[in-house]
Amino acid sequence: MTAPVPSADGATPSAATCRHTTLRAYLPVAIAAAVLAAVPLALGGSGYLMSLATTALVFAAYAIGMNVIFGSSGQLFLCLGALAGVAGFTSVLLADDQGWPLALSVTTGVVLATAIGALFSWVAVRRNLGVIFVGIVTLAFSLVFTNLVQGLRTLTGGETGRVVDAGGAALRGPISSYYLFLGVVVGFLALYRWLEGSRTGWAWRALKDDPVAAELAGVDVARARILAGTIGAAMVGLIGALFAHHEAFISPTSYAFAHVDVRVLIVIAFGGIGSLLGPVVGAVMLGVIDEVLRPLGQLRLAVYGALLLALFLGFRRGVVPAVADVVTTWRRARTPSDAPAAGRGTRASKH
Amino acid sequence: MLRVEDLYVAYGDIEVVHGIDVEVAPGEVVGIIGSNGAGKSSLLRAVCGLHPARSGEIRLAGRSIIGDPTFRIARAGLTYVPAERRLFPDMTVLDNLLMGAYPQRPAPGRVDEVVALFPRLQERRRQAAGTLSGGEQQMLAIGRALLAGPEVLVLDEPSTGLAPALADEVYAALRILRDDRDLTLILAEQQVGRALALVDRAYVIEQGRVRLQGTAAELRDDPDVQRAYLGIA
Amino acid sequence: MAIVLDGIVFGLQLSLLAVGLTLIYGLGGVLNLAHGQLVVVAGIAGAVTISAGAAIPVAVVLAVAAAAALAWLLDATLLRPVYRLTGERRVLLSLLVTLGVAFLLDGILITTHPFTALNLSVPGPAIDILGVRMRSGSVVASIIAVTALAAVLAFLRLSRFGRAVRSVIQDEEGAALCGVNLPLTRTVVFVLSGVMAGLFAITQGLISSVGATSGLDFTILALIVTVVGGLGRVSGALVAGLVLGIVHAVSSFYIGAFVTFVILLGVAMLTILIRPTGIFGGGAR
Repeated sequence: MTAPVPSADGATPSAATCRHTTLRAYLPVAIAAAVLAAVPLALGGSGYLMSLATTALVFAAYAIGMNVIFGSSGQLFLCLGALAGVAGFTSVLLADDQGWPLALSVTTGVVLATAIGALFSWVAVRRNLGVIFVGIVTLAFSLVFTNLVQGLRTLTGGETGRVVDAGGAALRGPISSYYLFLGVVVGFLALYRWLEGSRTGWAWRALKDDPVAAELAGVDVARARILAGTIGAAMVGLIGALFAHHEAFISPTSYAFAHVDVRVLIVIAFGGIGSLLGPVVGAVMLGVIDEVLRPLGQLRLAVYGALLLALFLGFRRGVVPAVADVVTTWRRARTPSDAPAAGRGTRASKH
Repeated sequence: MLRVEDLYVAYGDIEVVHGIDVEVAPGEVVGIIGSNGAGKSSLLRAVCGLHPARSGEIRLAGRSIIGDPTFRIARAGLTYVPAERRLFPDMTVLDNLLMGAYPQRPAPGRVDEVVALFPRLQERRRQAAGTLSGGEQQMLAIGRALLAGPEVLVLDEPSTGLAPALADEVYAALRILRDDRDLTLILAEQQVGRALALVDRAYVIEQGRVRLQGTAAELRDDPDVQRAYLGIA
Repeated sequence: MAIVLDGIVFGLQLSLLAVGLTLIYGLGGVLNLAHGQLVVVAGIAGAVTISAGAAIPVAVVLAVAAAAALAWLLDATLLRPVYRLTGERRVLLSLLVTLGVAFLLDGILITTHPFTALNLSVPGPAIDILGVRMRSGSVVASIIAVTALAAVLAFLRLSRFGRAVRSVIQDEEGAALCGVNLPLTRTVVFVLSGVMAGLFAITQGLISSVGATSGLDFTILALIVTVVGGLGRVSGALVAGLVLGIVHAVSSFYIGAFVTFVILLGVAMLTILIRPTGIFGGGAR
């Protein structure tokens, strides 16, 4: 796969954060889009490789959602899979069992997931819940979701899952679906970039630095947090719903905590929490690791666990930013006049 | 007894103590005075190991304690009573006092001795510390520190948040402690008049530096001190 | 009545499981999401020892020792960088790190011991208690749980070191100023929580079984009890364990197992939303 190289470069976009009007801010997004658009050509139309690439895009999209929720406002949602699953199952049930048009059922699923995300965020802000309580509530919600899906067998097909009819050629074709998900990812990236430059993005940075000081400085911390939870949940819901129709099959496994949340944490930890293109780089890395580890079976869990440990203990700011730092200092050392380099620190900083 | 040499303390990138020297002889009662934000607490927190010093040297009875964890410094005989007191709110007054003597077994009767100094605590022995009034909490914090049997007792703003009458009560107890010549007492205080009435000698800290030092009498007579801290024009 | 009695036995087990989790959180701000894996490690260690031909008591001791050793290892290695942080950051990193540990151990244990499970059957007839017949395994499990819980409570309330543990829970800085060695206290309590998890594995082995895949379930159960009892509150965990144990037994009997689990999760979520300090927390810790 050729994708990671330019994205790694793109992960160090500078300036942009303060000047949101300049189109230059979107340059990394455009470059990433162009590179990713070329991937099918590089893969020579192999159906298997295309499906891997599409999965990577799905995880990149989840991770962007997580970046919005967790990266920007520090809300640890451990229910990404459940949110995606709520949207997925809602959409499938409406489209297949009730005969709703696809667009409408997907929208309804997304609205429901968004509402749940917004509710969690709202309650967390209103009750002033710390990271631990948000984490526990959302983790509990994940398990409630899984249990309900498994219990409501007649509707959901239980643990084995069910076949999904509604879909259409665009969602099912290996190439077309790739470009569809690419469109979503690029859309999310652009949205993320736009949010970063907006007043909301400014509020996120302020509250991440110091929520109390932000509040005192007149930042509407509550609004910024709830907005993050809402937008992120909408992103995750959209991908969850589209994924179900794309796969033509839905089961609790594809939305399980171990399958989605843990891996999304790995993706954002690798790419750098809060970095623009980190999710894309991280998702590509995850795709490669998944493929390499396929023969390991259950032992893969152990590798994910080890990765989580290594990433969060070793590279608190993400591997990509850390590597970018090294490259930057190395370049600076060689050409001292080459000043503008890493502006990434503003967003990825977690110190 | 305690010797601080060229101490620098910083929070993140912001340096708040810029090279302070303080020396306290055994049995001496020394004030660290200055206004709010002058760096008194930062200096004392560094001394007792709650916040790392950036550089410098701190010696307790000749032995370097810089970089030691707080509990080790406490066991070495330096006990700090922070302005925010740091009591154990859900534990009883008695349990709080006993915690003061945690590293050793408290000598029998030691609790009674300390309580005799603060009679108010006597009636409240079985009460949870969190239910005490501000003045009683300050007395408990000092009492807890005394149970450790410290050689150096460091008090940070013992009159903070107290009504004047209660502050008087706390200071009355401190005067009794002052006359105990086995105890070295260091007192940080922004109520400079109160402090100068108690201590033998004091350092005036301004903006993280020692601005002046001298005996209590010298400082009381210093025109700058009078103007800046004692409200005498 | 028989159901309630079953519920009480399960409740005692839940308390046993949750006390360790709540103590660690109270003490160090570490939420150990690998708590259930401590149980599993004990279970597998016990089962392997038994299948190697060792006597049951030896296996029991080894099982508990294995959980304690793992707890000690966690505290001494991976959690060191966590303790260096403070406040929310410490909580967050502890969550992520222990989640990683949970998956790491799950992956290893499920792969290496897919069919190993700890089953300790106690010979002897059922025993009559209050006119209800109880399996002897349940009786032994209850005795273990009650003894262990009483011992922990006595340790916390009566011993000098126990008082130090309580003081750290209430104010870390204040405890350090009193000369309490924080890292040592944390280590001791972490090992204690490992011992409790190991004992839980024994009781679970007496009543049903402990296999490689149950780690997350145990963690979640402990988490539910801990949350309902109030994070960091030992007495809360004790009461919440008993109450939820009875709720669990009654609800499983009349409604069904999977709805029961959802109900328990719902109770935990509601607790956080309505009263984050816990329902059974009270004032005493």
